[in-house]
Amino acid sequence: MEIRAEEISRIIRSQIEGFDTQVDVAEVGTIISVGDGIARAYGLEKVMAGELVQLGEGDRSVMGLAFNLEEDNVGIIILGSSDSVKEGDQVKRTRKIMSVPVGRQFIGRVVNPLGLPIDGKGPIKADTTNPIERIAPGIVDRKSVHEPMQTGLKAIDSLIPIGRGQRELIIGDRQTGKTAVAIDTIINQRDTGVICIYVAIGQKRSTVAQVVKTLEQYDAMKHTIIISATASDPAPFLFLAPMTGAAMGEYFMWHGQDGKPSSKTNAGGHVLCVYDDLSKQAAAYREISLLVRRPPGREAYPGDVFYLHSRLLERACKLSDERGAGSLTALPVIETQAGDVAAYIPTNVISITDGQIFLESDLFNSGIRPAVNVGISVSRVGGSAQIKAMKSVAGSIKLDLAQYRELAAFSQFGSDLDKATLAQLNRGQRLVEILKQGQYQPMSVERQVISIWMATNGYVDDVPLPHVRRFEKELLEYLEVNAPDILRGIRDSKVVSDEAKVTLNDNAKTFKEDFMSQLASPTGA
Amino acid sequence: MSLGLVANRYAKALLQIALKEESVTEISKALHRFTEMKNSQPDLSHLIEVSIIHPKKKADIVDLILANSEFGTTFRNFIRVVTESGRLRLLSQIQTRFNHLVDEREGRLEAQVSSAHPLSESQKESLIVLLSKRTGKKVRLAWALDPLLIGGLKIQVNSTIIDASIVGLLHQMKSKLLTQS
Repeated sequence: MEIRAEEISRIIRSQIEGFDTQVDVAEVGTIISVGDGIARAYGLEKVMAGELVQLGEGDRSVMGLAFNLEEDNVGIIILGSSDSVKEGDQVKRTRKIMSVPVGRQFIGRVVNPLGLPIDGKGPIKADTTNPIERIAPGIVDRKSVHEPMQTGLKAIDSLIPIGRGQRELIIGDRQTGKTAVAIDTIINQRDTGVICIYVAIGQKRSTVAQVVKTLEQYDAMKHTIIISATASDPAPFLFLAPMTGAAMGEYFMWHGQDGKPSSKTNAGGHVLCVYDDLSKQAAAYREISLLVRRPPGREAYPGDVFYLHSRLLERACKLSDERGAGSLTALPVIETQAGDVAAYIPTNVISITDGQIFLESDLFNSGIRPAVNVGISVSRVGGSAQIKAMKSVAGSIKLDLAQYRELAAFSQFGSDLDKATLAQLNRGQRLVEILKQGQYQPMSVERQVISIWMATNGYVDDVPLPHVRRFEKELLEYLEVNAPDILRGIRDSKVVSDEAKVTLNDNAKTFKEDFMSQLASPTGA
Repeated sequence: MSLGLVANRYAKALLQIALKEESVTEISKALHRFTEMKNSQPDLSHLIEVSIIHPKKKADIVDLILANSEFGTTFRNFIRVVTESGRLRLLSQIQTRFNHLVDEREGRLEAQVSSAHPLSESQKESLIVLLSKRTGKKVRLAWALDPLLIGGLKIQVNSTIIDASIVGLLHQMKSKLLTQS
C-alpha cells in the first residue's frame, strides 16, 4: 500500500491540534552535587519520601528516587546513568510514588526492575501499574495457608512441605544448588496455573541467560516472568528488583483470570516469587545507604535492613475467600559464607520466614542432591498444606531418617552391630538414596507418594544400594503401564485408599521379583 | 554539616538580635553595604576568601577596617563573631538567608520572572496582583531577560515553577507525542 505524504501531514496536524496547551506548574530543586549514582538537591520542599523525580530536562533527563529527606537537601538515587546529570541542573517533582507496569503481558518476558523489556522481544504495553512499595495485606484479608505449593522435589515436598502463601527461605553456601531448587520448583508449576516470578539480583548476565534458556527448554517460560538486575546494573536496580517482583506478583494475586479484581466469585491467581538472592539486595541497600550517609550498623548494614526484608516478605500471603483466595508464595534465597548462618542477614531472614531449607556443601559433594540437610531444615506452616496421601507416607520417614543419622555417626566407631541397628542403618541409607533426585526432573505428587511409600515400607531394603534409584524409576514406569488407576486415584482423591495399598503391594511384589531375578542373572532373558 | 545549614544558623541569630533591637532594616542595609564594599575592593574580598590567615588575626583586621565606618556596633560584633569562627566566607549565603527570613517574617515573597521580551509596567503589576492572590503574600518581582524562552513567561516562587513559555510547551508537546504512539 502506498502512503501519501498528504496523509502523513494530516495525521501529524491532527495530533498537534489535539494538543491542549496547559501551563506547567512544577515544584523544582537544584542539584548541588552528583556522584556514585547519588544526587543531592536543594529545594524540592514538599517532596515525599520515595517519590519519583526527574533530573535534568528534555532528552538528557533521567529519573531518580527521593531517598533521603534532610533539613536542607534531598538525597536522590539516580535510576539510570548519571553521566548526563550535572551540578546546577533542575530536579522536578512528579508527585508519583515509584511504580512499575504490571499485567499478563509480562508473562514469558525478561524485564529490568523498571519493567522495561530486555529480551529483545519488543515493547510491553501495560495499562496497569502497581506501586513498588505496598503495605502487606492485613489480618482480615488473610487466611491460613492450606494448599500445597509442590516443588516436585521429594526431599522437600515430603519433609519440608511448602504451602501457597508461605515464605520459605533457601539458604546455603555458593555452589550448593540453591538456584536449582528454585528452578525445579518453577518447572514443576507447568500445568498448575501458578505464575512464577524469578527475580535475579546481582547475578552474572550469563547465569541469567542460562536460566532463561533452561526454562525455555523445559517449557516453563510460558508461565514465568524474569526480573533481572545483574551485577553490572547500578545498585538502585539491585535494591528495587525484589520489590518490582512483589509488585508484579501482587497484580496476579489480586486479579482473576479475566483481569478484573478478584472477589468471592472471581478467584485470584497463585504466584510464586523467587528472590535470588536477598544477600545481594542487602549489599546493594548497604551501598546506597552508606552513600547517602545513613549511619552504618552491624556489618555496616543500615539499621533498617531488617525492615527492608520483613516488609518485602510480609507481602507474601494467602488471601481470604472474600478477597478471591489468591496467594503469593515467596522463596527468598540467601547465600552464606562458609556455612555461617549466624551472620547478620541470614539470621534476619531466617527469623522473618516461615521456615528454611538448608543446603550444604558436604552433602552436595558426597552426591546427595538436592543437598538438603533435612535435620535442620523446617517448614513452620507447610505441614497443614500437605495432601493426605503425602502426610500418611511421610510421617515415618522423618523419624527413620533422624534415627539413621544418629546411628550413622555412632556406627563409625565400631563394627559389631546388632541386627536391629543394622536394619535401621540399611533403611536409612535407602531412604537417603530415594530422596536423591536429578536436576530439572520434578516429580508429580502421586509418584513421590509411591516412591516414599515403597521405601518406608521396606520394599527396597534388600535391593543393593547402587540399584535403588533404578528400582524406583522402573517401578514407577511399571505402575504407569500396569496400574495407571492407582496413580490417577492418588492424584484425584489425594489419599492412598486401602484398596490402592493392596494393589500397590501386589504390583510392587511382582515387579520386585522380576527386578531381583534380573539382577541375579544380568545376561538373562 | 552542610554549609547551607550553617549559614541559616547565623542568619537566624542575626535576625533575632535585629528584632530585639528593632533594627532589621539597618542590619539588612549594613549587610548590603558590606557586600558592596567587598565587591568593589578586591583586597577585601581576597582577605575574606583566603583561609591562610588565622581567624583571630582576620577578625582584628576586619575590625580595624570597620572601626572608622558608619557600621553599627551590633553589625560589627556580628562580623567579628563570624570571622572568629572562620565562617566569613559564608557571608553572602548568610545575607541571602537573612533576607529570606526577613521576607518570610513580613509575609513577602520574591517571584523570579523571566521572559523573552521585556515586560511593561502594567504587565508587571497585573502579574504581582495575580501572584499575590495565588500565594496570599506580598509579592516582589525579580525580572530577568531570557531569550531562550522564545515567548511567554516562566515564574519561580520558592521551589514552584510556573512554566508558560513557548519552550516549555514545546517540551510538553514533544513528550506527549512520543508517549502517545
